Amino acid sequence: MSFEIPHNSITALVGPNGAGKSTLMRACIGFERPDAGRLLIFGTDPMQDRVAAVNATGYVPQASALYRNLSIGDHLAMARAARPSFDRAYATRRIRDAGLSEGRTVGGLSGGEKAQVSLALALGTRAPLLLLDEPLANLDPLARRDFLTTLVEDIRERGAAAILSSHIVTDVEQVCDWVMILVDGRVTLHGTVVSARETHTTVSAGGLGGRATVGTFAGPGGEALALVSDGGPGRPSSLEEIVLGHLAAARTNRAALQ
Amino acid sequence: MIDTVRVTLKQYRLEVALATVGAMAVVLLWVYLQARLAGIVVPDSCIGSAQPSADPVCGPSINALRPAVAAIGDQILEVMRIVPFAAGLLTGVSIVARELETGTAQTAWSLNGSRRRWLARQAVIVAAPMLLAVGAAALAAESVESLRQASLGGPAVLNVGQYGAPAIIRAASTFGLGMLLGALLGRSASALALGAMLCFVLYLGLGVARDQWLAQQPSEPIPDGVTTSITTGFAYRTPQGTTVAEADAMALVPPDVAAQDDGQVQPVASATWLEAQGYVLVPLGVSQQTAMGWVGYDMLTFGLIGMLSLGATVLVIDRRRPT
Repeated sequence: MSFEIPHNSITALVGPNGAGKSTLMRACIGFERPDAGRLLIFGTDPMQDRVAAVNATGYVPQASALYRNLSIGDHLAMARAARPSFDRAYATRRIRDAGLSEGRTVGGLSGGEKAQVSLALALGTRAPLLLLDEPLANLDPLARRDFLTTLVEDIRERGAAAILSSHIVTDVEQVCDWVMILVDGRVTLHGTVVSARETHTTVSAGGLGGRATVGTFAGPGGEALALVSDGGPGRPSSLEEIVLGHLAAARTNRAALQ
Repeated sequence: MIDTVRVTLKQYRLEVALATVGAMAVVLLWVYLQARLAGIVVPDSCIGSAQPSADPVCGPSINALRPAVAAIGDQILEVMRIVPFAAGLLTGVSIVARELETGTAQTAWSLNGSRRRWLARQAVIVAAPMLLAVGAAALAAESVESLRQASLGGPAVLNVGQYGAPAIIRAASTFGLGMLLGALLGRSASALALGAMLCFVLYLGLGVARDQWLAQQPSEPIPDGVTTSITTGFAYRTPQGTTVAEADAMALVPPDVAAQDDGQVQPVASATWLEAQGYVLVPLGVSQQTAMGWVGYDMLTFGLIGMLSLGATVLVIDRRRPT
């Protein structure tokens, strides 16, 4: 795979379970060694210079990786000690904006509140690249909205870049500028959300008339739909439909290979 | 910096508290012993003298020490067999293992560019109070060992590692070993169990090595009343005052006398004959001073284990995938 992440953008990283999304994120921060190829974070190979790579990134792991017995304030103090550039005042503001107080112990927080603390830690690093590994997975709709609002505000304010992996395409569609679909460790689509929408249309699978499809999938009412990218007639695809079409194509290809 | 120390100690408060409580229990026992001994004044010249209890000046006070030293002092030294190992392992294992098993290593290592600096900071902050507590216990045990030597006697080398600097080095060394096992296994309970087994094997192994080393040291006749030497065998003092090996003395026994000892466990007849000729059986042994040369080897062994473990931990965490 080969891709670049532009500044001042949020890239949605989507793909089925086991596609390699988390591995890709973790490789960016030096937690995993790529089997092959080369990964550069602002020109630095994380396996060669992990310090530089880590200092250039803010990371929100997939599951809550906070210290249960420590308070939110303790986490911020720890982050400040770990990274001298950590902007504690900014992180504190984010915590306060999320309706939390620094004195609360992490063990007593809800999933959404923990996610906000993780995000505040990542944002407080003021790193030019944020890596968010399925942070929305266990959040209720309101908590997801709060999380994404905070993220977008920060990225737009600083002109930073973020990669956000998620299964919830309808949510990321509202905030992401770029989309990257990852299947079996391969990038099957990478581009702006706008261009993806412009180049894909959705049609009823029954009325294809021999047109080549990207993939076919079931619509919300169970009807068979097809994603096409031939510039022909059809209704504009939503990002969810584009993702579904590509994932369906990958599944078909895998089945054919087997 | 204060914030860092506070937060780190808060993370490991249970382990640090347990290690400190264990060591402080020794100090409290020592305070209790001192209270029991209050009023018994032992002249400084009696401490370390060869036969204090037989000395008319030292005897009364030294003999008065015995019951309390035997009852409480020996308990302190027994507890100190375990405290340095337990305190070191308990605190060392948690440094990396708990981060890995709870997933917090992802947060710690994504915020800290240098995992080595992270490890150094955590290790210093957690080890410092543990070593201070073990140090206090080791000093208390050293004072007990001096009292024990003065009142009860017995070879001090058998208690090496249970008092003074060697005990502190044992704690530091097992702290390093604990960190390594925690980093390798990523599970606190397994690392603790394996660490405890390794420490036990190490303890037994060093005991065997110490005995072999002592056996290689030059033996000399042990003066009457001296109980601090390690007995390694026996010899005979001739009527002329020279010392000959037991076998050489036995060779002088007439065959008809020696024949009476055939099939006996102890050559009683031969010994009786030799005594009748003016020969005196004397114990041979390694003096306290020579035997205590083992202290250096004990500290060197644990020092090396600690340093190698620390180095290996650095290598392991550099390659470890945080889970």
